[in-house]
Amino acid sequence: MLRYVLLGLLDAEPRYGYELKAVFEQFLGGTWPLNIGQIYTSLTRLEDEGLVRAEVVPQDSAPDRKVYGLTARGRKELATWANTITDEPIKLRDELFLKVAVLSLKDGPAARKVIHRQRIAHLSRLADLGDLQDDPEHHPVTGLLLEAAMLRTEAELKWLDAVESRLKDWGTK
Amino acid sequence: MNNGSRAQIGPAIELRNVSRAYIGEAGVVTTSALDGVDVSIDRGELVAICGPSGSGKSTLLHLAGALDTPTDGAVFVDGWALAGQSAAERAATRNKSIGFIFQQFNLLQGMTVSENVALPAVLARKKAGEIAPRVADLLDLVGLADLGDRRPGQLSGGEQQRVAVARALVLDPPIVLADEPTGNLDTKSGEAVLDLLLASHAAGRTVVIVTHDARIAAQCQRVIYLRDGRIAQQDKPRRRRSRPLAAMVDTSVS
Repeated sequence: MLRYVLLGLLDAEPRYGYELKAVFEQFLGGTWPLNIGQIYTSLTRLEDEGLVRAEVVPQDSAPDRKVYGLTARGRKELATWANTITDEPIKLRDELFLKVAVLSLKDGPAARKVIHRQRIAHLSRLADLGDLQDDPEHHPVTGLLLEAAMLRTEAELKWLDAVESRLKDWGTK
Repeated sequence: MNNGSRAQIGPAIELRNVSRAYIGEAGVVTTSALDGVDVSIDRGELVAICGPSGSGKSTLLHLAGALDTPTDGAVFVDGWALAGQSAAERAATRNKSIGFIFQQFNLLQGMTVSENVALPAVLARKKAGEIAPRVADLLDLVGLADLGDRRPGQLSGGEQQRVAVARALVLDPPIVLADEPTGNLDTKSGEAVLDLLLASHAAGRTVVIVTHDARIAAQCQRVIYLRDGRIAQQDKPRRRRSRPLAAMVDTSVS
């Protein structure tokens, strides 16, 4: 997946390695940690596949820079990926889901307690994400990412509500 | 007001073992909206009341706002024991101590925006010379200074709710109660109304908001969660304001 993000960023503007790393981090608000080695490995591979082309730019008082840009094939590859509808299975591998699922099997009160504690932790996270939304420094894409994270958190809060309602039903059976 | 003693200290709102049942034919309890609830809300507190539909949120707020009376238990508002008060005295307590904001705005369509805002002050027999500048200040506060002569029907939903906020504040009550204040509004208008409520709290008022919007609840100091007419949980969201984004979100794909 990383390759497509890099292709997308280079399609917007040709960059050299360090610059690409900085833009990548700003773009996703630092939520995908990468080292410069991973960037260069990816760029080399993309270059070998003919998806990007490097142009050597001489510098006055520093080593020459390789500035990477997309080739026509690279643009086509990016468009094919971006235009493919995403319909993967929903990943419910997260710890919260499994914890509540296991607790709900036998002990209603214990599951309810976990739900209550988790609910307040989620509300706290929602507030903290909301604070970051007000940061004028962040990249517009980081704003989209925050919105996704907040909506996800709200969905999980609704799911906790639904679980709690069903626990009650089980208790009265 | 000869009934009930006013405690200057003590909570803004207190419900002691309060129940609210609806009695049907032959004196049979048909619905128990609230069932033995104890709630104490401090002066200056910002509280969200949450819970599924039918959990008793609105009933609780209406009781706290002296718009309804409990079938059992005692309600204290701003130091007044409502149980000892006549309907007229309750109305006076409501006027003096509480500003109420409804989901449906509840503005009078036959009056202008300014007249709607002024209405509680007029009913409280304040002097016209005092009311006019107060209304102007409030319309300015809610960003509607130019719309005072319009009718509510000429305004958007968000604007109407801001009028309702101004009306709730016209008698400068120490307590503001809001029942799903953003429930009928788009996101942006809802945020504007929430900002006004937060500003009202920052100005020293007690603010209680019934909401199913988790983003609003997250902004409050305490969240009271009702379920089936009882308090299921009440907690304070623990804010960690400097928590970096990378500690909350991971976008990496292997």
